[in-house]
Amino acid sequence: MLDYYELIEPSEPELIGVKDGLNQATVFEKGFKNKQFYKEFIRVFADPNHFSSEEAMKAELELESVKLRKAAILTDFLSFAPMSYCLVSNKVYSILTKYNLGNHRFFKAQIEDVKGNFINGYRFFYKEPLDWDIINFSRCDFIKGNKYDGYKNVPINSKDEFLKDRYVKVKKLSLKNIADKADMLKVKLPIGIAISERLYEELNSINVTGVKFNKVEVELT
Amino acid sequence: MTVTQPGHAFVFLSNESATQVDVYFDDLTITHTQSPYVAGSDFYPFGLTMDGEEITDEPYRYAYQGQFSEKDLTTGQNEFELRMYDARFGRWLSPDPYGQYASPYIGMGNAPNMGTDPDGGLCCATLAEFFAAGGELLPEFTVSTTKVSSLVIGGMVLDGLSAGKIGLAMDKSAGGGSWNISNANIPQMDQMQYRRMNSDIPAQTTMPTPNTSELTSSLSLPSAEAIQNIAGYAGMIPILNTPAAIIEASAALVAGDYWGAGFAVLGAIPVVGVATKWGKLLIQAHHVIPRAVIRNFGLKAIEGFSSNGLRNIKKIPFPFHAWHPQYNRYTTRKLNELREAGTLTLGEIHKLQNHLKKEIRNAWRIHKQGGGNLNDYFRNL
Repeated sequence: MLDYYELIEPSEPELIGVKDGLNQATVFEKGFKNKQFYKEFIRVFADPNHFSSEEAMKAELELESVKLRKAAILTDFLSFAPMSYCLVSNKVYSILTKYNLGNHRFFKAQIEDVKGNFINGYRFFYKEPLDWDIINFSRCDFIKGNKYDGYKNVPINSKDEFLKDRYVKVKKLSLKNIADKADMLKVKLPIGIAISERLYEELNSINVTGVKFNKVEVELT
Repeated sequence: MTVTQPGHAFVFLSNESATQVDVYFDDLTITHTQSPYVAGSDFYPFGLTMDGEEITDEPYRYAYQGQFSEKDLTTGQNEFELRMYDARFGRWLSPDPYGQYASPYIGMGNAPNMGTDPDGGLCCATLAEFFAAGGELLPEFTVSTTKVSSLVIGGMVLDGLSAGKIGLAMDKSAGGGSWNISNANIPQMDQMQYRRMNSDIPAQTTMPTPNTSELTSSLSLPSAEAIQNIAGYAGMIPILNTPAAIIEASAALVAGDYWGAGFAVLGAIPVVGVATKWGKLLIQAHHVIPRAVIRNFGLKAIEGFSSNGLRNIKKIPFPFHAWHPQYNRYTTRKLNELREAGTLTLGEIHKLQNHLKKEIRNAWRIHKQGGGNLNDYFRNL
């Protein structure tokens, strides 16, 4: 059993600045010099009727303008709309690139603050989720409930069972055919990106902002 | 004595001696050992529970229409997904959003033996048609390791409690994980179970499938609602309250919100009307999927989705409602999960709305027991 840490996007106004708990920034079409980049981003990443991780991994684009919302705090992990994606600062980028992240993409991004100043060095980070067959459902622990009424275990042994009852929490994640040294995991379950303990410690050592960590048990078989 | 069928057992003592003799009954004990069923009821045709015909060993809140039986927070009426129902009269308390029958208030087309209406929208002849029309039930059964909950769904008693109706029992040996049909003499039950076992396989039906997207979009009346909202707020200003109330009432009538129209007319009364308007702030219309989240995810581009439709609105008291960034973030996370799994469809969004409504009800229950507000609840979910 390994200790991993789930990355959680905070919603507290004191951490991200905006009061509605949503994205701190928004892709700003008018700020794009190359409109093709904008169209490609919308086509691949922001079409509610279609999404393909294969296309996302092949996309060629730069986010030339991501506009900060009023009152938003500029954090190392910064969420942006449409949908809900994540930008990472240069210092986070330089750490992440030292680790085994699996299939992922970094796209150059430029942030524009409310005064019209541009902030470089951010990157749009996309982590491709692992396929369903990697998940060892029978060895995962799923729970349901809340802290007031308590939690109960929910037996889920297959993808089909999960899709029928998907509003659960993952207490223990069990994956098969994954190398021990994987530093970043993402699955199509109700759990955020999980990072290894060593990556967590390095990120924690620089006091990254805009993210919270939640310890999670991961079994790699 | 083993009771093998539903009915009444009369236990009595009688002294039948030919001559009058004193008889003493001592240490007589009658023990009633419950059947494996821990909850259930018989119903009148329109869903009213028969007094004395209930088993209530454990709480069980799915009732006659297969819907989570929930009392509305403000009116105490039985609240379905789309509107409230009074089983005593077999009538809904607000008009049918789909306009299925000549009278918009009748329950199950006045023929409860012929159809089911699990959400207050479409009444269909069979459950299979309900599923085919995009309907969803919320099958959350209370099952313990030793006992089995009964289930009443779609107008049919599924636990064999009621003679002459279909029986469906949880298979105890399977640990509560699967269903066995014990008396499968109605074909649509096979289809319902089949649907549950494999959601990729559509329910079998020979009936044409209604165009649910048209039906759902017909719920949305943004212009009338917007006018209603603006006039509602304008009515808080004393000098404007009478004309604003007339405009609000008209808009409410156009939107089919007859309760709202009634309250708006009350709002025309000087002083009292203004006070009513301010009091209205205490019960707020909550967007189950918040509008900002809808914008971020472009959900309006999904055919059939309506942000102001009844499915996406829930009345919630203030200050329990209040500001809810944690709720917004939770909803965003769930939509992201649907998207990444490639399942951001109208059906899944409806399931998410049902899930969120259920959690809001939980949050309200806990709030009444001294817990925090909506935001506090979702912070820890």
